[in-house]
Amino acid sequence: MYKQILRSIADVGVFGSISLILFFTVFCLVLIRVVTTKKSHIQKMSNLPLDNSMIN
Amino acid sequence: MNNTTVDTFYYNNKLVRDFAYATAFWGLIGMLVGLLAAFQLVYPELNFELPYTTFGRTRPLHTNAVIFAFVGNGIFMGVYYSLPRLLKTPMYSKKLGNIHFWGWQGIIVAAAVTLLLGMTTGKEYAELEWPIDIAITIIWVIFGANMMATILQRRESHLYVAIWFYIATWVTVAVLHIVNSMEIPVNLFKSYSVYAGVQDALVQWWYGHNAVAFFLTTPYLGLMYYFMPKAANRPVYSYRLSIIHFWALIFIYIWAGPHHLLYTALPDWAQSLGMAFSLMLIAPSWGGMLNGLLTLRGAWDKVRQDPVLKFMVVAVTAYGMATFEGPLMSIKAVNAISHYTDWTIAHVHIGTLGWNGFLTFGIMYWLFPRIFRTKLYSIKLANAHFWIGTMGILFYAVPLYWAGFTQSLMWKEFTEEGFLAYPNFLETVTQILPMYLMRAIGGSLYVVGLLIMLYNIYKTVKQGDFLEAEKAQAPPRALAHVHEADHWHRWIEKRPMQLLVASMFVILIGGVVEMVPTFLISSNVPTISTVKPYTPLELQGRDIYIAEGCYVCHSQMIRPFRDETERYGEFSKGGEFVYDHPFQWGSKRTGPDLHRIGGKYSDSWHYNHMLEPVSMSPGSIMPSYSWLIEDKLDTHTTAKKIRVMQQLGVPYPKGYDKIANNDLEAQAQAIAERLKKDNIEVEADREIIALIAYLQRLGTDIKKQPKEEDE
Repeated sequence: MYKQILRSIADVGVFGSISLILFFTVFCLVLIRVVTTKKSHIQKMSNLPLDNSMIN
Repeated sequence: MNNTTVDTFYYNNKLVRDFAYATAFWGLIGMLVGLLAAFQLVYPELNFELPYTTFGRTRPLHTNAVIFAFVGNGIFMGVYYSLPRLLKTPMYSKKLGNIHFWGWQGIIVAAAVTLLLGMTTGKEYAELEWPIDIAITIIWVIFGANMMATILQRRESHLYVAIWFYIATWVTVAVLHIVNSMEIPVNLFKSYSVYAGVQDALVQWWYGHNAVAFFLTTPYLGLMYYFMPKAANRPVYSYRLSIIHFWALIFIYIWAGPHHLLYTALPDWAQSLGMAFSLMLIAPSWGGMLNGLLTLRGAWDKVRQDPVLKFMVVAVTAYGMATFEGPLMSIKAVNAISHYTDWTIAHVHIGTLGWNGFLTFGIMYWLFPRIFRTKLYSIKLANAHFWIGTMGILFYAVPLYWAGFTQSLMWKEFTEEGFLAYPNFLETVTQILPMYLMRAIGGSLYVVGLLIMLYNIYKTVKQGDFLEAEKAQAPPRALAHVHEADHWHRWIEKRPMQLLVASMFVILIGGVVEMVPTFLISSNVPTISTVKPYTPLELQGRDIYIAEGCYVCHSQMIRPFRDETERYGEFSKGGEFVYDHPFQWGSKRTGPDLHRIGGKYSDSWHYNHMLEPVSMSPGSIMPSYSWLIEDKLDTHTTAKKIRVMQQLGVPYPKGYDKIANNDLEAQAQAIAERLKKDNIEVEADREIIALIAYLQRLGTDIKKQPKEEDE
């Protein structure tokens, strides 16, 4: 039955273009976000594994 | 930070230790089974003429054991160590952790037993039957709940990139496992995939490829991003790059599945999509690899002394090699040569032996001395392990590359007169047996290395003093970041649930776009009017084919190449598989393709060949299946099987389940009589009869004359 509902989606081929555009957009957003992140924050993040909270 | 506002708490190392022991134990078992399988290919007598120890069952046991038992426990070992420390809080629940640990080990034991008994769905790396599938789902949810609850009670508000990888791993593996394991039970030990033929293949390789991506790769990248900086005592080379690595990788990986089905009956557009995304994968993968290697900038002198770093460097290098080679093999022209050959096996083992194995070993050498408050028992032995293991990888992979190229070129070679240069498939097998032997020796070296490690760790544990509860201090979360201005770009790093949903959204797009159209548009799988459902006897025979793991060595998918149509017959069409629950296209041709085997040989040929393969094909490395002649076919299941098939849309007439066994017996009798004419006395109720019926049916439907009511 669910197949019947899905089958009614018109122009299923447009999925491909949508997803490529989506990927490109997401990728660009990530890139922008990454490039504009402050250095101090990046440094803090990358030091997280080394931040020893253990005391013995 | 003011000391009066600091919380004191304890990290629990017990589960970390237990998962580490389990990793070591199952690693040894899984690799020993792999070694047995490798030697079986050279010395078929090592199949011991027992159903439980034939290659068709040991190989799935090996793959499942090393993926889900060795690497699986390795993931949990690393997560249970790194997650609390990155979040500055103990794991949310010890109880859930214990259920997770014992549940997972129970699943592994159940898997080992059922696979050797021949209970399998017949889908690679998803072979486990439905009760175990459900158990996996429950245990996986328990693990996820414990992980997310830990994240929610954290003291460190920012989520380090390793945790992103853990979250994406969890959500994606859940989705993959559930979608690919959709099956309808026949009984407790047998089920049929709800998908058939082309669609089953697409779902299976969407799963299969991403089992590599999200079980063997992303969680281990998380481990790399935590343990490599730890071991080198310096932060990751570029945290920015790691963010891009993460998003690009999870977005692209999910699309790449169809590269396992190039030149098959899968619709062409889906193949091209898979190939394009596979090529794109080079970029994030290499970004990640370089990020790992460059973390050691200025610390290369340490690599010379510290075995932990040596293992990690080789692991990350192997990751780089495998992720360069993978996209390369996804190019259709290359895939035409590499597919179905040992090239693929070599490629996979660069990833598993190099990347997964060596990273696991590196982490273990680092971890054990720490949780046992001692020094590693012997650096010398660790170095010996490193060199023997590295040699093992090379001796494993290089002969197999050679074997792959050799065999593929032999398959494709034509004489000047236009005939196949090697018309007998067996010639191309015996040619590469020396390479198989060298591979098995390489594998043995690798296992020797592992044994050395186990001894070293045993001694380390012996001399150490286990620290079960590790005391730690950190300010409570509200105080820790009270002075920090909230920048927009930190949004996602503080919101694990949103991150989980976002990763799920990202991976679902790929799955939906590739699969929905194939399921919906009927033109994607053209129907062929002469293709009819299997007879009850053939259906039972097909289930024997699956239980014996024939798909491990034989494909049922003839690609549209001249050498393949010449050797096997007409190339395979999507419409021929519409009643195949599950599909049995296979992924490796250790033996020849079987899609057009029907009618090619006599029934007696098949009988003799199953009883004693070398009697029909001298030099064959196929195991003997003599028990099929002694074992009676269980016909009690026939009615239920027919009903399940009807549920799945296979057009058996209404009420056919009740009379199916009559047809079954009549067909079996006819085969037994034909055999009798060739002086073979065998009862009609034996398993071999059903298997012969199935083999003789394979690929014959399209040769039949269509009746008048055609489309």
